[in-house]
Amino acid sequence: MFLVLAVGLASLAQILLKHGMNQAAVADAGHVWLRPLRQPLVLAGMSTQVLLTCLWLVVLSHIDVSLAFPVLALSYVVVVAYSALYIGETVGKRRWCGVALIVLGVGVLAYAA
Amino acid sequence: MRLEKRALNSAGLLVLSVSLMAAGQLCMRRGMLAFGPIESPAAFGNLVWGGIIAPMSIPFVWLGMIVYALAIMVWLQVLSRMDLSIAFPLMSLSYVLVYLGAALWPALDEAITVGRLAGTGLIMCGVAMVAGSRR
Repeated sequence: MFLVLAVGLASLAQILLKHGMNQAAVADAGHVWLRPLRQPLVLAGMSTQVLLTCLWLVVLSHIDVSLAFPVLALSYVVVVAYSALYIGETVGKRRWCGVALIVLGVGVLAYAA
Repeated sequence: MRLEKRALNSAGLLVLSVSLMAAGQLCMRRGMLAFGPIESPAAFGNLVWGGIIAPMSIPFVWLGMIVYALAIMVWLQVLSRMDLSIAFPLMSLSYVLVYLGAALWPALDEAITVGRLAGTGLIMCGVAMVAGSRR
């Protein structure tokens, strides 16, 4: 349950950051490295990441890290699906296959003794 | 020509960000190794003291956090230049870098095994496919 929440938060953080940076690109005021910090969505994304870290500590106090960490890789699938459906990025078969390989690879890397 | 240069810059920033992320993780691990395991982190007091305040006495933890913060700043620049469906999966390169770093840095000394190398290889293949995909 906490794990599902963690995957959701990890995905949400990236999505918020991306939306925030898209807005920052339009806003175009201030220094390029500091501009992001004025975007509410970027700040929301960073806060989500902080929240995730706190939740993660709770998860880790119950489950072994080698078991829990690879589950986070599922957020790649969530984020790519979201990008395709709601940001309007074109995601073809090749990119999906790549994502599948990555998730598989993270699983093998983590569970291999 | 201009477009190519921009793509190159984005790729460079992405590699920089992911490398910083991995370096930050390794430094934090190095620091927490010196610190030792946190006693029963399920207890809230232990979590705040052992997980946040006390480790601040270790320079490597500091260093790791600063490097990690830099990584996030660079990451934001990457997001403003690249599709999210490419950039985010490529973040998985940090798994590979962290594993290699943990195996090669004598202070961390984590085991190199066939299984883990296979996982690393799969991730690299996936990364190559995502990076090479035009859509």
